[in-house]
Amino acid sequence: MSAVPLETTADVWNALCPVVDSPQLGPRDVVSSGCAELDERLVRNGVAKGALLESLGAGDGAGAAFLAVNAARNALADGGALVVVDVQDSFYPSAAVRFGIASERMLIVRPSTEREALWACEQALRSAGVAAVLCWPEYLTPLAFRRLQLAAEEGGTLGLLVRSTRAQHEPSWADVRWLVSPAPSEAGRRRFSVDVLRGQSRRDGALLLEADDEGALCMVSRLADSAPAGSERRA
Amino acid sequence: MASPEARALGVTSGMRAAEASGLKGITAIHLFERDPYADRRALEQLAAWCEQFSPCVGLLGTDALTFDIRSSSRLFGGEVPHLETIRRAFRERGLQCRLALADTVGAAWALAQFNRQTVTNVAPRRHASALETLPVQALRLEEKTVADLHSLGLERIGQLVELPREEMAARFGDHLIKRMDQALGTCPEPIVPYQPEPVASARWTGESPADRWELLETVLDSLLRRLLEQLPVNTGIVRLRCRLQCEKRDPAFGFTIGLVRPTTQQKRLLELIRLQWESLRLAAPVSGLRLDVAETGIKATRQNDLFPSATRDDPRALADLIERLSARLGRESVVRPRLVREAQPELAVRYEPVVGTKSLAGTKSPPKQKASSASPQRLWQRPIHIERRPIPLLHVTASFPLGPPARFQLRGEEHRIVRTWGPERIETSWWRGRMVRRDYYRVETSDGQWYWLYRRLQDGKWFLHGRFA
Repeated sequence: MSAVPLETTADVWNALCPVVDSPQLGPRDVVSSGCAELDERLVRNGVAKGALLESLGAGDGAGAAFLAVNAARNALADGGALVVVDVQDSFYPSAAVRFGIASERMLIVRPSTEREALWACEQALRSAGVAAVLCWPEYLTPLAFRRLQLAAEEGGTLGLLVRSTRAQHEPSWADVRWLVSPAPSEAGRRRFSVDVLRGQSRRDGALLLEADDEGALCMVSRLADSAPAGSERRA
Repeated sequence: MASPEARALGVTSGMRAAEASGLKGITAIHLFERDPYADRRALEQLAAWCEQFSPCVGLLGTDALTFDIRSSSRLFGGEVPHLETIRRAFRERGLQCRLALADTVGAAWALAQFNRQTVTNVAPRRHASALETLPVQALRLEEKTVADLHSLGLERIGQLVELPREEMAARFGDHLIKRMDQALGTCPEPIVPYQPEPVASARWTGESPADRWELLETVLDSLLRRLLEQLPVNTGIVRLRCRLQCEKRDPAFGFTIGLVRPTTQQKRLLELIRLQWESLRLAAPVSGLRLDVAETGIKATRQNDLFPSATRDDPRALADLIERLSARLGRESVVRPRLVREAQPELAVRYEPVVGTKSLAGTKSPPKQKASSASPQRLWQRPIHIERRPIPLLHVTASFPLGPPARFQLRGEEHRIVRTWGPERIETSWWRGRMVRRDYYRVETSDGQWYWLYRRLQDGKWFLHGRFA
């Protein structure tokens, strides 16, 4: 990890609990974010199984959950179930099915309290039958966060935490934390910028991504970046 | 009661045999004695079948069933769709029914019996006014009481409510007061769940009550062994009911343990009971215990695929997880979605509990679905988050009458819409006396957020139904 100026307490925390290096990870242990350019930005060229991904969204219609569902779909490619821990009781499976996640591979868990939700997440992350766990933990103590990370590691499961930008200045035990902000759509295609805050291979600006009608992601340009926009875009 | 075939010939319920024999097309009439015992058996069987709609089904009188649907309605997409599902299921079974939903058992019974509608849905806390116009018989009174009331010109419940209680009690007995209080909710009337005969059961009464898990564990161990010995070969437990009797606590209470696949593993059952036990936090020691096997299944020799697919699948690990989650959070809180053909988005997904269900626990694996049955173009038609109750939006302006929305307000915040996709018109057939007709729009606001809005076509009101988070 490159030297990052420590500006906030979160930066200090993040520097103190760095992404653990485990060099023996093969390509099968890494889940693609769905976009090659975004994968390149990440230390592991994707998100490691057995780790947590935090997808922070600026606003509740921004695309943070979309990117998490996308990663979940990729994690399910090798089998296993997707466990959705939904305290709010607002997850709509029809959308996930349209993303290519078969409904019979989804398990929806609706605890009535945040406390039970964390317990359920931990249980699911530890299970060898689960490929990914998707949840919306709004408040996480460092200890609870750490427990989730350990559970993911133990089970080899991908933990997807969709949170609001409020979590940005809180410490993280996630391998990857990115911030998703909405951008104006283009020709009916949804766009958003993704800024990797943690677990990036190099400190760089945000990426402007576009999702097509099939949910496939591609990079449109690099934002706040010295490289000319789109010059390295792959066909 | 008359079947559709009989009705087609002109037979109605309550008709005399002599009248019916005169109808055209009727050649012979066979009369059957009313058999209360058989009726009761049939009602019990119906109650067992109805456990798919509610975890708590009770019998009421000779011809009524009561459901507690507080916790289970969200599996069906809310109270209204829940009622509709029940109505349809009865119809598909060839049964006529009248359904009423109200805050109290008494009010629901009264409305189902005396409100001549197939479905009556009384809003929370509105049951008292709904009862006012009903006849006094709707209070489940003895015939003599009804006759006494009638002789005084008291025919409607609304008239009784205004009378002084003491006088009424003195004149007509406490029973009338109790029935009124039960209907109005001032006196609680719990639904006593109907429970079919258990397949096997075992009980324990302790001379010295158990206050620690370690003590209880020994007891449970021996009870479970006795239970499992009673089961036939190759049969495992799918649902286990535990009833606890606590010191100084009356009546007994309990919980149910569900399994994904039939099991005879004592250790496993004990662990699931422990998970429940931990969340109970009992104040008093346990003095009595009873275990009933409520449902069994044939143990599959081969592991069936709970979640069909490739390498990472570990059905046993997943079944373990599901059973643990269900034991701690409750059966209704651990569900699998199933997409059904329904135009109305709230009803397009059914949620099915995974444990304690015979069909799932059996050897047959769930019907395979295509991974993506929807065409890819329709990917963005449905949002990731949906509001269980669509949020009414105020101050929505449209660019032209009946056109797409241009701006809306949400939680006091103004949102300007820069792009819209739609409308997608959704219409359903008859529904609680009126149709659901909506024009859905996917909208992008000026700050790039995507929402799912609809206009209710009947009155032009706007609602927020989802977020493309």
